[in-house]
Amino acid sequence: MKISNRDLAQISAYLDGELSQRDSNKLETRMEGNPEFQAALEDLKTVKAVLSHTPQLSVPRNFTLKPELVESPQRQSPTRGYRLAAAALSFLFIGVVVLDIGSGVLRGGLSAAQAPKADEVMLEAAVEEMEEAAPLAKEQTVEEEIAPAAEMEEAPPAPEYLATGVEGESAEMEGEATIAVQDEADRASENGEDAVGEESLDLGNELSQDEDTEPEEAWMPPEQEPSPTVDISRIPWLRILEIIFGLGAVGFGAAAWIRHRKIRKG
Amino acid sequence: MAAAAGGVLIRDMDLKDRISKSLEGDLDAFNQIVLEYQGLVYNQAYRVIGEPDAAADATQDAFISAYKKLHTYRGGSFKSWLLRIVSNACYDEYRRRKRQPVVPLTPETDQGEDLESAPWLEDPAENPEEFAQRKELSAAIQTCLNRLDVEFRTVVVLIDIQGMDYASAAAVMDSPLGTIKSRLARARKGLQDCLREFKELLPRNLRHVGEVV
Repeated sequence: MKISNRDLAQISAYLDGELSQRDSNKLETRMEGNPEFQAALEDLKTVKAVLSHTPQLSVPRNFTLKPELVESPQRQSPTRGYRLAAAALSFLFIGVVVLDIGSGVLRGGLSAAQAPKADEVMLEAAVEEMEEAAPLAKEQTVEEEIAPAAEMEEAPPAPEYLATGVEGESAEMEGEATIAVQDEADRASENGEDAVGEESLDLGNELSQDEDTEPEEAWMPPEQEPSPTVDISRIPWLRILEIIFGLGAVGFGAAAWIRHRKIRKG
Repeated sequence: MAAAAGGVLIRDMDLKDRISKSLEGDLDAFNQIVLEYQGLVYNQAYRVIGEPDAAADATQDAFISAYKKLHTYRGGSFKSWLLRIVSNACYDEYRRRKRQPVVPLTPETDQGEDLESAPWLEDPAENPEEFAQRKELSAAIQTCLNRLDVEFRTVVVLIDIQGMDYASAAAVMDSPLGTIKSRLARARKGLQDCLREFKELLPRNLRHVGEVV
Protein backbone atom coordinates (compact mmCIF):
# COMPACT_ATOMS: atom_id res chain seq x y z
CA MET A 1 0.00 0.00 0.00
CA LYS A 2 1.31 3.39 -0.95
CA ILE A 3 1.29 6.11 1.70
CA SER A 4 -0.78 9.12 0.72
CA ASN A 5 0.73 12.60 0.61
CA ARG A 6 -1.47 13.59 3.52
CA ASP A 7 -0.22 10.73 5.68
CA LEU A 8 3.35 11.46 4.63
CA ALA A 9 2.91 15.09 5.69
CA GLN A 10 1.54 13.95 9.03
CA ILE A 11 4.47 11.58 9.59
CA SER A 12 6.95 14.28 8.58
CA ALA A 13 5.36 16.80 10.95
CA TYR A 14 5.30 14.14 13.68
CA LEU A 15 9.04 13.69 13.19
CA ASP A 16 9.58 17.43 13.71
CA GLY A 17 7.30 17.56 16.74
CA GLU A 18 4.93 19.89 14.86
CA LEU A 19 1.75 17.89 15.42
CA SER A 20 -0.71 18.62 18.20
CA GLN A 21 -0.86 16.13 21.06
CA ARG A 22 -4.17 14.77 19.76
CA ASP A 23 -2.86 14.29 16.22
CA SER A 24 0.35 12.73 17.53
CA ASN A 25 -1.61 10.20 19.55
CA LYS A 26 -3.82 9.36 16.60
CA LEU A 27 -0.81 8.87 14.33
CA GLU A 28 1.00 6.72 16.87
CA THR A 29 -2.06 4.47 17.11
CA ARG A 30 -2.17 4.09 13.33
CA MET A 31 1.57 3.51 13.16
CA GLU A 32 1.53 0.65 15.69
CA GLY A 33 -0.07 -1.82 13.32
CA ASN A 34 1.36 -0.37 10.12
CA PRO A 35 4.94 -1.27 9.15
CA GLU A 36 4.80 1.01 6.10
CA PHE A 37 4.15 4.02 8.28
CA GLN A 38 7.06 3.00 10.48
CA ALA A 39 9.35 2.57 7.49
CA ALA A 40 8.33 5.97 6.13
CA LEU A 41 9.12 7.55 9.47
CA GLU A 42 12.57 5.89 9.51
CA ASP A 43 13.33 7.10 5.99
CA LEU A 44 12.29 10.64 6.78
CA LYS A 45 14.44 10.52 9.91
CA THR A 46 17.46 9.50 7.84
CA VAL A 47 16.90 12.23 5.26
CA LYS A 48 16.56 14.79 8.01
CA ALA A 49 19.79 13.52 9.59
CA VAL A 50 21.67 13.64 6.26
CA LEU A 51 20.53 17.19 5.66
CA SER A 52 21.57 18.19 9.17
CA HIS A 53 25.08 17.03 8.16
CA THR A 54 25.10 19.41 5.22
CA PRO A 55 28.47 21.16 5.32
CA GLN A 56 28.28 24.85 6.04
CA LEU A 57 30.10 26.73 3.33
CA SER A 58 32.52 29.52 4.07
CA VAL A 59 31.60 32.75 2.37
CA PRO A 60 33.70 33.36 -0.77
CA ARG A 61 34.14 37.02 0.19
CA ASN A 62 32.83 39.65 2.55
CA PHE A 63 29.51 41.19 1.61
CA THR A 64 29.92 44.40 3.58
CA LEU A 65 28.35 47.38 1.89
CA LYS A 66 30.22 50.32 0.48
CA PRO A 67 28.65 53.79 0.43
CA GLU A 68 28.45 53.81 -3.36
CA LEU A 69 26.38 50.59 -3.28
CA VAL A 70 23.63 52.04 -1.15
CA GLU A 71 23.87 55.78 -1.66
CA SER A 72 24.27 55.96 -5.40
CA PRO A 73 21.47 58.00 -6.92
CA GLN A 74 18.76 56.05 -8.67
CA ARG A 75 19.91 55.59 -12.22
CA GLN A 76 17.28 56.89 -14.59
CA SER A 77 15.81 54.04 -16.55
CA PRO A 78 16.68 54.20 -20.25
CA THR A 79 13.13 53.19 -21.13
CA ARG A 80 11.59 55.92 -18.98
CA GLY A 81 10.99 58.25 -21.93
CA TYR A 82 9.20 55.57 -23.94
CA ARG A 83 7.09 54.55 -20.98
CA LEU A 84 6.11 58.14 -20.24
CA ALA A 85 5.20 58.74 -23.87
CA ALA A 86 3.13 55.54 -23.96
CA ALA A 87 1.35 56.55 -20.75
CA ALA A 88 0.63 60.08 -22.00
CA LEU A 89 -0.70 58.82 -25.32
CA SER A 90 -2.83 56.24 -23.53
CA PHE A 91 -4.42 58.98 -21.45
CA LEU A 92 -5.03 61.09 -24.55
CA PHE A 93 -6.51 58.07 -26.32
CA ILE A 94 -8.88 57.40 -23.44
CA GLY A 95 -9.84 61.09 -23.33
CA VAL A 96 -10.62 61.21 -27.03
CA VAL A 97 -12.61 57.97 -26.86
CA VAL A 98 -14.66 59.34 -23.98
CA LEU A 99 -15.20 62.59 -25.91
CA ASP A 100 -16.21 60.66 -28.99
CA ILE A 101 -18.68 58.48 -27.13
CA GLY A 102 -20.01 61.49 -25.21
CA SER A 103 -20.60 63.54 -28.34
CA GLY A 104 -22.24 60.53 -29.99
CA VAL A 105 -24.65 60.18 -27.11
CA LEU A 106 -25.35 63.94 -27.18
CA ARG A 107 -25.97 63.86 -30.94
CA GLY A 108 -28.21 60.86 -30.58
CA GLY A 109 -30.22 62.63 -27.88
CA LEU A 110 -30.66 65.75 -30.02
CA SER A 111 -31.74 63.89 -33.12
CA ALA A 112 -34.11 61.85 -31.04
CA ALA A 113 -35.68 65.06 -29.80
CA GLN A 114 -36.07 66.43 -33.34
CA ALA A 115 -37.45 63.26 -34.89
CA PRO A 116 -38.75 60.68 -32.49
CA LYS A 117 -37.47 57.21 -33.17
CA ALA A 118 -40.96 55.72 -33.23
CA ASP A 119 -41.76 57.85 -36.27
CA GLU A 120 -38.60 56.72 -38.01
CA VAL A 121 -39.49 53.11 -37.43
CA MET A 122 -43.00 53.67 -38.68
CA LEU A 123 -41.63 55.40 -41.74
CA GLU A 124 -39.38 52.50 -42.57
CA ALA A 125 -42.22 50.06 -42.06
CA ALA A 126 -44.48 52.09 -44.27
CA VAL A 127 -41.90 52.30 -47.06
CA GLU A 128 -41.47 48.54 -46.94
CA GLU A 129 -45.18 48.02 -47.07
CA MET A 130 -45.48 50.36 -49.99
CA GLU A 131 -42.93 48.34 -51.88
CA GLU A 132 -44.79 45.15 -51.08
CA ALA A 133 -48.19 46.63 -51.86
CA ALA A 134 -47.16 47.90 -55.29
CA PRO A 135 -47.72 44.61 -57.16
CA LEU A 136 -51.02 44.08 -55.34
CA ALA A 137 -52.24 47.40 -56.54
CA LYS A 138 -51.89 46.37 -60.18
CA GLU A 139 -54.51 43.67 -59.71
CA GLN A 140 -57.05 45.87 -58.05
CA THR A 141 -58.01 47.86 -61.13
CA VAL A 142 -61.52 48.77 -59.95
CA GLU A 143 -60.34 50.58 -56.93
CA GLU A 144 -57.62 52.14 -59.00
CA GLU A 145 -60.21 54.16 -60.95
CA ILE A 146 -61.92 55.35 -57.80
CA ALA A 147 -58.71 56.49 -56.15
CA PRO A 148 -59.00 60.20 -55.85
CA ALA A 149 -56.13 62.14 -57.27
CA ALA A 150 -57.36 65.26 -55.61
CA GLU A 151 -56.68 63.72 -52.23
CA MET A 152 -53.03 63.90 -53.00
CA GLU A 153 -53.18 67.55 -53.90
CA GLU A 154 -54.94 68.44 -50.69
CA ALA A 155 -52.33 66.76 -48.59
CA PRO A 156 -50.23 69.06 -46.43
CA PRO A 157 -46.60 69.71 -47.41
CA ALA A 158 -44.10 67.16 -46.13
CA PRO A 159 -42.12 68.10 -43.07
CA GLU A 160 -38.45 68.68 -43.71
CA TYR A 161 -37.17 65.87 -41.55
CA LEU A 162 -39.38 63.40 -43.32
CA ALA A 163 -38.13 64.57 -46.64
CA THR A 164 -34.60 63.84 -45.60
CA GLY A 165 -35.65 60.53 -44.05
CA VAL A 166 -36.32 58.96 -47.46
CA GLU A 167 -33.06 59.25 -49.25
CA GLY A 168 -32.50 59.71 -52.93
CA GLU A 169 -35.98 60.69 -54.05
CA SER A 170 -36.66 63.32 -56.60
CA ALA A 171 -38.25 66.49 -55.37
CA GLU A 172 -41.70 65.86 -56.84
CA MET A 173 -42.03 62.23 -55.97
CA GLU A 174 -40.48 62.80 -52.62
CA GLY A 175 -43.34 65.11 -51.68
CA GLU A 176 -45.98 62.64 -52.81
CA ALA A 177 -44.38 59.62 -51.28
CA THR A 178 -43.68 61.25 -47.98
CA ILE A 179 -47.21 62.58 -47.80
CA ALA A 180 -48.52 59.09 -48.28
CA VAL A 181 -46.05 57.73 -45.80
CA GLN A 182 -46.78 60.46 -43.33
CA ASP A 183 -50.49 59.85 -43.65
CA GLU A 184 -50.00 56.22 -43.06
CA ALA A 185 -47.67 56.76 -40.14
CA ASP A 186 -50.06 59.22 -38.54
CA ARG A 187 -53.03 56.95 -38.98
CA ALA A 188 -51.08 53.96 -37.76
CA SER A 189 -50.12 55.78 -34.64
CA GLU A 190 -53.73 56.77 -34.10
CA ASN A 191 -55.54 53.55 -34.99
CA GLY A 192 -52.99 50.99 -33.95
CA GLU A 193 -51.62 48.10 -35.88
CA ASP A 194 -54.91 47.00 -37.41
CA ALA A 195 -55.18 50.18 -39.34
CA VAL A 196 -51.80 49.64 -40.94
CA GLY A 197 -52.95 46.45 -42.63
CA GLU A 198 -55.97 48.16 -44.15
CA GLU A 199 -54.06 51.14 -45.26
CA SER A 200 -51.54 49.14 -47.12
CA LEU A 201 -54.25 48.68 -49.74
CA ASP A 202 -54.94 52.38 -49.92
CA LEU A 203 -51.31 53.06 -50.25
CA GLY A 204 -51.21 50.48 -52.95
CA ASN A 205 -53.94 52.40 -54.74
CA GLU A 206 -52.13 55.59 -54.48
CA LEU A 207 -48.96 54.03 -55.71
CA SER A 208 -50.68 52.22 -58.55
CA GLN A 209 -51.93 55.58 -59.75
CA ASP A 210 -48.41 56.80 -59.72
CA GLU A 211 -47.20 53.76 -61.56
CA ASP A 212 -49.51 54.60 -64.44
CA THR A 213 -47.59 57.72 -65.03
CA GLU A 214 -43.93 57.00 -64.18
CA PRO A 215 -43.72 54.06 -61.79
CA GLU A 216 -40.05 53.32 -62.31
CA GLU A 217 -38.79 56.85 -61.90
CA ALA A 218 -40.68 57.35 -58.68
CA TRP A 219 -38.47 54.96 -56.71
CA MET A 220 -35.18 55.26 -58.56
CA PRO A 221 -32.58 57.08 -56.50
CA PRO A 222 -31.19 60.06 -58.40
CA GLU A 223 -27.52 60.34 -59.26
CA GLN A 224 -25.61 62.01 -56.47
CA GLU A 225 -24.03 65.17 -57.69
CA PRO A 226 -20.43 65.51 -56.54
CA SER A 227 -20.18 68.15 -53.90
CA PRO A 228 -17.80 70.90 -54.99
CA THR A 229 -16.77 71.75 -51.39
CA VAL A 230 -15.80 69.41 -48.56
CA ASP A 231 -17.87 69.81 -45.44
CA ILE A 232 -15.14 70.07 -42.80
CA SER A 233 -17.58 69.38 -39.97
CA ARG A 234 -18.19 65.89 -41.38
CA ILE A 235 -14.54 64.80 -41.16
CA PRO A 236 -14.31 62.39 -38.19
CA TRP A 237 -11.49 64.20 -36.39
CA LEU A 238 -12.07 62.32 -33.20
CA ARG A 239 -11.68 59.00 -34.97
CA ILE A 240 -8.44 60.16 -36.57
CA LEU A 241 -7.13 61.30 -33.19
CA GLU A 242 -8.18 57.99 -31.64
CA ILE A 243 -6.17 56.10 -34.24
CA ILE A 244 -3.13 58.36 -33.87
CA PHE A 245 -3.09 58.23 -30.08
CA GLY A 246 -3.90 54.52 -29.94
CA LEU A 247 -1.18 53.57 -32.39
CA GLY A 248 1.26 55.92 -30.66
CA ALA A 249 0.59 54.37 -27.24
CA VAL A 250 1.01 50.85 -28.58
CA GLY A 251 4.14 51.82 -30.51
CA PHE A 252 5.88 53.49 -27.59
CA GLY A 253 4.84 50.64 -25.29
CA ALA A 254 6.32 48.10 -27.67
CA ALA A 255 9.51 50.16 -28.06
CA ALA A 256 9.91 50.36 -24.27
CA TRP A 257 9.41 46.61 -23.96
CA ILE A 258 11.91 45.79 -26.74
CA ARG A 259 14.52 48.14 -25.27
CA HIS A 260 13.97 46.71 -21.81
CA ARG A 261 14.52 43.18 -23.13
CA LYS A 262 17.66 44.21 -24.99
CA ILE A 263 19.09 45.76 -21.82
CA ARG A 264 18.25 42.66 -19.76
CA LYS A 265 19.91 40.41 -22.31
CA GLY A 266 22.89 42.66 -21.90
CA MET B 1 22.13 28.13 30.97
CA ALA B 2 21.80 31.56 32.54
CA ALA B 3 25.11 32.56 30.95
CA ALA B 4 23.88 31.46 27.54
CA ALA B 5 20.65 33.41 28.01
CA GLY B 6 22.68 36.40 29.06
CA GLY B 7 24.84 36.06 25.95
CA VAL B 8 21.77 36.00 23.72
CA LEU B 9 20.40 39.04 25.53
CA ILE B 10 23.62 40.97 25.00
CA ARG B 11 23.66 39.91 21.36
CA ASP B 12 20.04 41.04 20.97
CA MET B 13 20.87 44.37 22.54
CA ASP B 14 23.86 44.68 20.25
CA LEU B 15 21.67 43.91 17.29
CA LYS B 16 19.03 46.46 18.28
CA ASP B 17 21.72 49.04 18.81
CA ARG B 18 23.25 48.31 15.43
CA ILE B 19 19.89 48.43 13.74
CA SER B 20 19.01 51.81 15.25
CA LYS B 21 22.44 53.17 14.29
CA SER B 22 22.01 51.78 10.78
CA LEU B 23 18.66 53.50 10.53
CA GLU B 24 20.44 56.76 11.29
CA GLY B 25 22.70 56.10 8.32
CA ASP B 26 25.64 54.47 10.07
CA LEU B 27 26.84 52.05 7.41
CA ASP B 28 29.59 50.65 9.64
CA ALA B 29 26.97 49.52 12.16
CA PHE B 30 25.07 47.77 9.40
CA ASN B 31 28.27 46.14 8.14
CA GLN B 32 28.68 44.60 11.61
CA ILE B 33 25.32 42.95 11.05
CA VAL B 34 26.44 41.86 7.58
CA LEU B 35 29.55 40.19 8.97
CA GLU B 36 27.48 38.36 11.54
CA TYR B 37 24.83 37.08 9.12
CA GLN B 38 26.66 36.69 5.82
CA GLY B 39 27.43 32.98 6.43
CA LEU B 40 23.77 32.20 7.04
CA VAL B 41 22.63 34.27 4.08
CA TYR B 42 25.21 32.90 1.67
CA ASN B 43 24.50 29.28 2.64
CA GLN B 44 20.77 29.78 2.23
CA ALA B 45 21.31 31.41 -1.17
CA TYR B 46 23.74 28.74 -2.32
CA ARG B 47 21.50 25.84 -1.34
CA VAL B 48 18.48 27.39 -3.01
CA ILE B 49 20.14 28.57 -6.22
CA GLY B 50 22.85 25.92 -6.47
CA GLU B 51 25.47 28.13 -8.12
CA PRO B 52 28.22 29.94 -6.20
CA ASP B 53 28.33 33.08 -8.35
CA ALA B 54 24.58 33.44 -8.38
CA ALA B 55 24.47 32.83 -4.64
CA ALA B 56 27.07 35.55 -4.08
CA ASP B 57 25.08 37.98 -6.22
CA ALA B 58 21.87 37.12 -4.37
CA THR B 59 23.63 37.57 -1.03
CA GLN B 60 24.93 40.99 -1.98
CA ASP B 61 21.52 42.03 -3.33
CA ALA B 62 19.85 40.78 -0.17
CA PHE B 63 22.08 42.89 2.08
CA ILE B 64 21.62 45.99 -0.06
CA SER B 65 17.87 45.41 0.01
CA ALA B 66 17.94 44.79 3.78
CA TYR B 67 19.77 48.08 4.36
CA LYS B 68 17.28 49.99 2.26
CA LYS B 69 14.27 48.28 3.87
CA LEU B 70 15.57 48.28 7.41
CA HIS B 71 12.83 50.72 8.46
CA THR B 72 10.26 47.96 7.72
CA TYR B 73 11.73 45.69 10.40
CA ARG B 74 9.26 45.86 13.30
CA GLY B 75 11.05 43.72 15.86
CA GLY B 76 10.68 39.96 16.26
CA SER B 77 13.13 37.53 14.71
CA PHE B 78 15.70 39.44 12.68
CA LYS B 79 16.88 36.16 11.18
CA SER B 80 13.40 35.43 9.80
CA TRP B 81 13.07 38.97 8.47
CA LEU B 82 16.45 38.74 6.78
CA LEU B 83 15.82 35.27 5.34
CA ARG B 84 12.60 36.51 3.83
CA ILE B 85 14.58 39.15 1.94
CA VAL B 86 17.14 36.51 0.98
CA SER B 87 14.42 34.20 -0.33
CA ASN B 88 13.06 36.96 -2.55
CA ALA B 89 16.57 37.81 -3.77
CA CYS B 90 17.14 34.10 -4.49
CA TYR B 91 13.94 33.81 -6.52
CA ASP B 92 14.93 36.89 -8.54
CA GLU B 93 18.44 35.60 -9.12
CA TYR B 94 17.18 32.10 -9.88
CA ARG B 95 14.75 33.38 -12.50
CA ARG B 96 17.42 35.63 -14.03
CA ARG B 97 19.89 32.75 -14.27
CA LYS B 98 17.27 30.47 -15.81
CA ARG B 99 16.80 32.95 -18.62
CA GLN B 100 20.54 33.20 -19.21
CA PRO B 101 23.11 30.59 -20.31
CA VAL B 102 24.03 28.05 -17.64
CA VAL B 103 27.01 28.89 -15.47
CA PRO B 104 29.19 25.83 -14.70
CA LEU B 105 28.59 24.33 -11.27
CA THR B 106 32.27 23.51 -10.80
CA PRO B 107 34.42 26.54 -10.02
CA GLU B 108 36.80 27.46 -12.82
CA THR B 109 40.06 29.33 -13.10
CA ASP B 110 40.29 32.41 -15.27
CA GLN B 111 41.47 30.11 -18.08
CA GLY B 112 38.28 28.04 -17.79
CA GLU B 113 39.94 25.02 -16.13
CA ASP B 114 38.21 23.27 -13.23
CA LEU B 115 39.64 24.12 -9.85
CA GLU B 116 40.70 21.21 -7.64
CA SER B 117 38.68 22.64 -4.81
CA ALA B 118 36.49 25.63 -4.30
CA PRO B 119 38.28 28.00 -1.92
CA TRP B 120 35.09 28.67 0.07
CA LEU B 121 34.82 24.97 0.92
CA GLU B 122 38.32 24.80 2.34
CA ASP B 123 38.72 24.48 6.06
CA PRO B 124 42.35 24.60 7.27
CA ALA B 125 41.44 22.55 10.37
CA GLU B 126 40.49 19.33 8.54
CA ASN B 127 42.72 16.80 6.78
CA PRO B 128 42.53 16.23 3.01
CA GLU B 129 40.44 13.06 3.33
CA GLU B 130 37.84 14.74 5.52
CA PHE B 131 37.78 17.68 3.20
CA ALA B 132 37.21 15.42 0.18
CA GLN B 133 34.35 13.61 1.95
CA ARG B 134 32.75 16.86 3.01
CA LYS B 135 33.02 18.24 -0.47
CA GLU B 136 31.46 15.12 -2.00
CA LEU B 137 28.64 15.06 0.51
CA SER B 138 27.96 18.73 -0.11
CA ALA B 139 27.88 18.12 -3.85
CA ALA B 140 25.57 15.09 -3.47
CA ILE B 141 23.10 17.00 -1.32
CA GLN B 142 23.19 19.93 -3.70
CA THR B 143 22.59 17.67 -6.69
CA CYS B 144 19.50 16.26 -4.98
CA LEU B 145 18.29 19.70 -3.91
CA ASN B 146 18.65 20.95 -7.47
CA ARG B 147 16.20 18.26 -8.61
CA LEU B 148 13.45 19.76 -6.47
CA ASP B 149 11.26 22.69 -7.44
CA VAL B 150 12.61 25.92 -6.01
CA GLU B 151 9.67 26.33 -3.55
CA PHE B 152 10.19 22.81 -2.15
CA ARG B 153 13.92 23.40 -2.02
CA THR B 154 13.51 26.61 -0.05
CA VAL B 155 11.30 24.93 2.56
CA VAL B 156 13.63 22.00 3.11
CA VAL B 157 16.69 24.26 3.31
CA LEU B 158 15.01 26.55 5.82
CA ILE B 159 13.83 23.71 8.07
CA ASP B 160 16.34 20.89 7.68
CA ILE B 161 19.51 22.86 6.96
CA GLN B 162 18.93 26.21 8.70
CA GLY B 163 16.99 24.54 11.52
CA MET B 164 13.92 26.76 11.51
CA ASP B 165 10.54 25.66 12.84
CA TYR B 166 7.43 25.48 10.65
CA ALA B 167 5.99 28.78 11.85
CA SER B 168 9.20 30.69 11.09
CA ALA B 169 9.50 29.04 7.69
CA ALA B 170 5.88 29.97 6.98
CA ALA B 171 6.66 33.57 7.92
CA VAL B 172 9.76 33.62 5.71
CA MET B 173 7.94 32.17 2.74
CA ASP B 174 4.70 34.01 3.42
CA SER B 175 2.80 30.73 3.07
CA PRO B 176 0.26 28.91 5.26
CA LEU B 177 1.53 26.37 7.76
CA GLY B 178 -0.25 23.53 5.93
CA THR B 179 1.58 24.38 2.72
CA ILE B 180 4.91 24.32 4.50
CA LYS B 181 4.05 20.96 6.08
CA SER B 182 3.09 19.27 2.82
CA ARG B 183 5.92 20.81 0.81
CA LEU B 184 8.46 19.69 3.37
CA ALA B 185 7.15 16.12 3.38
CA ARG B 186 7.22 15.91 -0.41
CA ALA B 187 10.66 17.51 -0.56
CA ARG B 188 12.00 14.98 1.93
CA LYS B 189 10.47 12.13 -0.06
CA GLY B 190 12.12 13.45 -3.23
CA LEU B 191 15.47 13.78 -1.50
CA GLN B 192 15.16 10.27 -0.09
CA ASP B 193 14.77 8.83 -3.59
CA CYS B 194 17.70 10.89 -4.88
CA LEU B 195 20.07 10.22 -1.99
CA ARG B 196 19.92 6.46 -2.64
CA GLU B 197 22.08 7.16 -5.69
CA PHE B 198 24.78 8.69 -3.46
CA LYS B 199 24.63 6.18 -0.64
CA GLU B 200 28.40 5.64 -0.53
CA LEU B 201 28.97 9.36 0.00
CA LEU B 202 26.76 9.54 3.06
CA PRO B 203 28.08 9.11 6.61
CA ARG B 204 28.24 5.37 7.43
CA ASN B 205 25.42 5.47 9.97
CA LEU B 206 23.10 7.04 7.41
CA ARG B 207 23.69 4.76 4.43
CA HIS B 208 20.49 2.80 4.95
CA VAL B 209 18.40 5.57 3.43
CA GLY B 210 15.47 4.13 1.49
CA GLU B 211 16.43 0.52 2.21
CA VAL B 212 13.34 -0.29 4.26
CA VAL B 213 10.78 0.73 1.63
